[in-house]
Amino acid sequence: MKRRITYRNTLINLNSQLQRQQAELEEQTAIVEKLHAQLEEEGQRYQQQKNTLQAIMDSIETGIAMIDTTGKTIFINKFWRKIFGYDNENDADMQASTLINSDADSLIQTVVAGATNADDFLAKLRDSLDNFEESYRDDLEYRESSHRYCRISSVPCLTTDNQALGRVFRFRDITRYKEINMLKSELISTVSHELRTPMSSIMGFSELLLTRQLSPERSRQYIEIIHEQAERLTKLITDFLDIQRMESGKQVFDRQRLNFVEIVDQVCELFNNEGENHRIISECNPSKPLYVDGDHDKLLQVMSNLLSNAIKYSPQGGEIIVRVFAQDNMLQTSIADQGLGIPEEARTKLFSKFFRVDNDDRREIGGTGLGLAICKEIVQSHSGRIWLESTYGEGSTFYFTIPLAEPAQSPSESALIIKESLVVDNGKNLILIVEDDENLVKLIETVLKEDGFATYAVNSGEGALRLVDQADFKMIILDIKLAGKLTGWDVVKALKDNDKTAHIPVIISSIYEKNAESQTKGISDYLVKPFIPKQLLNVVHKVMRENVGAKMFMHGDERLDEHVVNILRSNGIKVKEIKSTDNILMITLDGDN
Amino acid sequence: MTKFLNPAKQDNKHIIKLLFELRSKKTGGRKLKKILVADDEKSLRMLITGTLEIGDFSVVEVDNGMDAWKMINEIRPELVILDVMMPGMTGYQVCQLLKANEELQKIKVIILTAKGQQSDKEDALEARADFYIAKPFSPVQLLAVVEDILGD
Repeated sequence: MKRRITYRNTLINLNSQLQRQQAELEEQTAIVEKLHAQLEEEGQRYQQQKNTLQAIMDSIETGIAMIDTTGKTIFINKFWRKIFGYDNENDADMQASTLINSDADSLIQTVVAGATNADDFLAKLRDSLDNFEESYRDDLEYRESSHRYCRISSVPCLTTDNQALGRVFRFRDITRYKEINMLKSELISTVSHELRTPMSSIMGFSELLLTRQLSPERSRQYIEIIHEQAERLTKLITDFLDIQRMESGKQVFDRQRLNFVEIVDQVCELFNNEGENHRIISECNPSKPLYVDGDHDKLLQVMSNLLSNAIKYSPQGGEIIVRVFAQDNMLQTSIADQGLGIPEEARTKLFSKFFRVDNDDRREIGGTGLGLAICKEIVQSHSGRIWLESTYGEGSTFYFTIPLAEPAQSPSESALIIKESLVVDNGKNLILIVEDDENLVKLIETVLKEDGFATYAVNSGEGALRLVDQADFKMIILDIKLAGKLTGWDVVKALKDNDKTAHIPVIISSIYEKNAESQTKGISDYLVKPFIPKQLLNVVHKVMRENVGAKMFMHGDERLDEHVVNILRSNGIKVKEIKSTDNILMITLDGDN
Repeated sequence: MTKFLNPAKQDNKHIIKLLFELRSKKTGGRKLKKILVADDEKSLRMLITGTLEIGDFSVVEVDNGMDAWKMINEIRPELVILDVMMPGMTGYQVCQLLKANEELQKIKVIILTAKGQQSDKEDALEARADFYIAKPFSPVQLLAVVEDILGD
């Protein structure tokens, strides 16, 4: 019985023990489960942190790789893969996994493959793996397919108690930075060279003038050189500022509807008059205008830069052929010379600043080295394209295009008239100025007003014809190239065809020289621009003398007519022409009276 | 007295030689020191010859590196004044050729450079030029240097 009780007690004991243990176990299970949950949470947080870190690392434009103390690659970012050509998205992961876990040596091999100073670098990188305390920085030049520069730097990665964990490498692609730096110093050295050359002449010759007794002829020669070189310096500075303004987009283009054929004619004429050694043949049809919307002065600059280049690089007596035609809504202009031609390797650089072809038999060729760069900027600002074709030894042809203007539009009315109201100062002889250059208008007006004339100015032929019979104009000073569609010659023809206006003497003011053709058109005189005020007044006075009072208007009455003419004749006045229209008799007297 | 000759092209080299001989006879056997000036800028050649006018020199001008080298061999000048930036060959290249040649290396060389940067100075020293003058230069100084170099 006692044993039984003992058994029972033992059993109870065991049971309670078991229960206790079970409770403990449950408790421990709960702890484990809690820990597990915590761990899972931690794991998630870790993964999240890792993803965040990777995202951050991938977003920066610096290549980053980490190597642990055993020399294994444990981390690389996206930009690193990009720098070293592992940026193919499809197998990026595969490549990343091959790179990660690869040993440091193969990473280093990958890094320096293609670098020009590879050996130096390998040695340096290996050193850095033995010496985890040091940071270093260096530039690495690459020559794989293109010139590339990388800046590489490395910092040790340490635990909180300064135990080495590994090393972080940073790679920055500094190619662009290097290029900009190089361009900058090249530009500075070229500009200073271009500035010093004329400066040398100016300083040197002025020093000779100051320190030596020179003959008057020699002194004059030296002063001429100084002046010439100072002009060259000024041109260089103007051109340089021009191109800076255009490149930075600060240039404001004054766009107008222009007949480009006229611009070409003007420039060709100008150059033909200047240079006796070259012949410029313009193969464009002057009667078929081609309109563009552009800045007159700037387009003129393009043409004259290209033409002066063609002349400079052409042999004496060479022909330069200029063609202008329309093609696919574009106006295309070509300028062909018979010069040396441009070697292939120089062609791409030709439109960059200060670039000049280094020819063996280069003659004394002036210029600033900026002409073509300016042309390119202007043409591109007009939505056009500029290029060249050349056979070395046979000559070059430069082409450029500009979009043609919409043909339906006519020049805006507001552009036609400079002044709206017509104020006639009674008692003064009124002169009509037809001229589109505002500055020249101002000059002519000032000169004529000071001389006692009244003036009125319009900038187009259309404006001139509308106004001419609204006041008693004693004379017309007429430009050939005008703002509207009509040229000066069109205006002359219209004036002479109209009986009411045929008597008004016309003085042509043009940049073109007088030729045989211009004399047949019934004009009174011809002024070639630029003219000085004295020339203008001489011509105006001469024409006034010939014409004022030389025309008589009378009421038409046949008896009276005869009478008047007889009286005039008996007084020794020569009558040139008698014309009777609408009861008005017009007697033109000979200018010699 | 100084005489000037136009840039020498292929045909007139022997004429130049003859002129030199004639001139030395004219000066009573006293030989003028020959100076070759190579610069592609006409105004600068005029400046240099104008500067050297009052010395006992005879000056020959060329406008490119190739002709400079040909002329050095042809006339054996006492002094060569070289611009750096020339078509054909740079002044440094001409100078290097000259100084590497046993027969010619005694010829004195002045290099004129428009850059005047440290790197150019080093290039010039590497080319073993005897003197280096930066543009813009003072003609009075140039004359002093020339007289110093060619002085007995």
